[in-house]
Amino acid sequence: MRSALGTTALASLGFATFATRVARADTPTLDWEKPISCPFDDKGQSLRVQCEWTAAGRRCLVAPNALPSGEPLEGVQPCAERGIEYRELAGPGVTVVRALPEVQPGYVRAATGRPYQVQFDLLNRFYFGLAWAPTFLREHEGIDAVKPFSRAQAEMGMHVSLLSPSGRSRHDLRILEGSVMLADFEVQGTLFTYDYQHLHRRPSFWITSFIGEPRVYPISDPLGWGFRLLTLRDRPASNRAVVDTELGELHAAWNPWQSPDLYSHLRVEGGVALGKFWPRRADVTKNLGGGAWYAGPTAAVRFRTSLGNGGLHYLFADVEYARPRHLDGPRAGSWFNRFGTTLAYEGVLLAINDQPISLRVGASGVARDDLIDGNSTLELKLTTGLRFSLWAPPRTFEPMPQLEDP
Amino acid sequence: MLATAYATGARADDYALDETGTHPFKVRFDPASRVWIGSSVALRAGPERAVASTSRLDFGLAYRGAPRTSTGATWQLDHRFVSGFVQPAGVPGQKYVALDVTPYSIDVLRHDDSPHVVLPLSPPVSIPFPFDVGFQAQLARVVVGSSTVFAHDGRGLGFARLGVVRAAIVLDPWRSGLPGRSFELGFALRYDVDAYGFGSGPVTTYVHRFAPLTATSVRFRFQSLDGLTTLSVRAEAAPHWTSERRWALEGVADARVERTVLAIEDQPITVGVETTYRYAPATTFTFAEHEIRAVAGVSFALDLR
Repeated sequence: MRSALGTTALASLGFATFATRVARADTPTLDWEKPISCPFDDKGQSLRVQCEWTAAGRRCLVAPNALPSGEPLEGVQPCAERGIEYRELAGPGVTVVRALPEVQPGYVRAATGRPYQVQFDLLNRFYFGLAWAPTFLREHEGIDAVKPFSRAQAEMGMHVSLLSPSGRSRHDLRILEGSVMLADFEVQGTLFTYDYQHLHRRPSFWITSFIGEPRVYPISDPLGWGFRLLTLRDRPASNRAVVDTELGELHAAWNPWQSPDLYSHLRVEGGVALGKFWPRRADVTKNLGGGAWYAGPTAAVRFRTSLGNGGLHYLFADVEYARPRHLDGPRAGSWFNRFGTTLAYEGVLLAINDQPISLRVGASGVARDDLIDGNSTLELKLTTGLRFSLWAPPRTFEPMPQLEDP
Repeated sequence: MLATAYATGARADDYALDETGTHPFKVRFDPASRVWIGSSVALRAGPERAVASTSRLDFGLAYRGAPRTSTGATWQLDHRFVSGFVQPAGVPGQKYVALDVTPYSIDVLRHDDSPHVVLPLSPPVSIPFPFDVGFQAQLARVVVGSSTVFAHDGRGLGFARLGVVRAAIVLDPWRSGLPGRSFELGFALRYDVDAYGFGSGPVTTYVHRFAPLTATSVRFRFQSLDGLTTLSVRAEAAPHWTSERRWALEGVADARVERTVLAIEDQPITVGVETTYRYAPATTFTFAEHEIRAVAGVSFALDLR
């Protein structure tokens, strides 16, 4: 009797699965991580089957293995070589449940059966964007005839963020990231940035005290490090005639707060930078060896977080300070200040062929001493624009091991 | 970790276990086998009767060997390479920075449980000899003075010394047999070349000084069993013949104590205090000088054992 009921249940399956909307929460979905069998039913049609043992017996989720049009399913796992036979589904103690085909994490299936991405990792993407960027200077210097509300910027960059579960660490790379103001062609960009952070459980090092009885103390602070290569600022706010390049910057970092997968963090950095500037743009093309050098300490506090696990909303905040010293040139021996702060929100609005378009709203403030005369300039820039991202895979929520590899 | 400790030459009892009983950490060190770099502050009082303070950069490499002979005697060989200090801040009136660097020196002490002297008679006669014997050698020590020397005409002259060689025979009546512990009586041969006016003017006057085993020294060394604390007290009086065709007397006395207070990843950090008194003899054109120096500093070391 039970096997007859099981056969009846099987017979009621078929392509009706996709006649229902995906939004039905009561229809289970096959698990992406578990093996899937692909037997053929009595009519020769392929099914996707995933079974598990429960207290009540064997429960098998059964889904079609093709779209209603007969085309093969996209975005599914390969079938197991030795799987469940169709006749086993009609066996005693087997409960057959109609289900939807599996879909990889970060995706859902449309009513047509096609998977589409609903989670995005904006730390892994190539992007280019356009933004309205009204800019206010303390005295409107250097913008010439361009009014502050008529500024717009184009931007691009590539981000790569790699999680190493075995090392309980994350590597962040930013490549060819920069922007250009369309009104006056102010260019800012960095060739390459690397940052390392970890959440080691093993102590980073041990300190022994010999004051009194010898005692040893484990130190496992979440330290990190990073560097920047070749940051260009052409027509900076402090002096539009100057070409300023930071050739390299190296810093150590401390992460007082990190999410368990190191995706979100609060980071404090301290380091040194070396740079060179040319007082007049024409000097760069005539004499690359000219200009004047500067070097000095840098500091930064950086914050980034994903709001929720959906990968749709992000918050970024940075505060940077540098105090380099002129090494040569007319102002050799004098120090100057650079201070900058940025606050930005980015949210995914829609996706075209699983490539997200995000809205980015931000504000940045810069206080910088002029490299020629030492006078200070204040700049406030508000940006509202769109970014089109390529790649941006779904966020990976891979569990971290208890201990990193030694 | 303990297996690694054996492999590097350390012994199991050099380590203790932490409170959890899982992590071994080093509690015994060999202060004579390490590479070190440190920073110190020196206070100096000289003929000008003003106390001057300067900062120093200390460095060096030392290694202690302790081979045993087939007859049961133990040798203690203390090597030092490129050890000394540099004062990065310049000295007023001098062209070169002050420094005191010795490329190589060695202290050797032989300990025998039953020391004796054999007289080659027939039959040979063995006489108890209650001393450990050894020798010391130092090559090419370079000193650039941190202060000027006052000439008879009132000029302040820069000073430099090349300690070409110092070789001494030492006797140790204490015969402790333990590393770093000795009470040594030494008789040394020395040859130094002093350069007056070095780096301070167009003319440099050289004075050669030769002590034919007349440099007599006393040195007391103590090292705790765990190697965390060391003490050294030394005094030397050196009557010597000079190229000015006369005898002169040079004297030095110093005391130094060091203590390891911390270790990072089993690499020691030590603090040290040293006081030195030096008497420099007069020449035909300069006055004799008394100098007192006190130094306190911190060193970071990389253990070689």
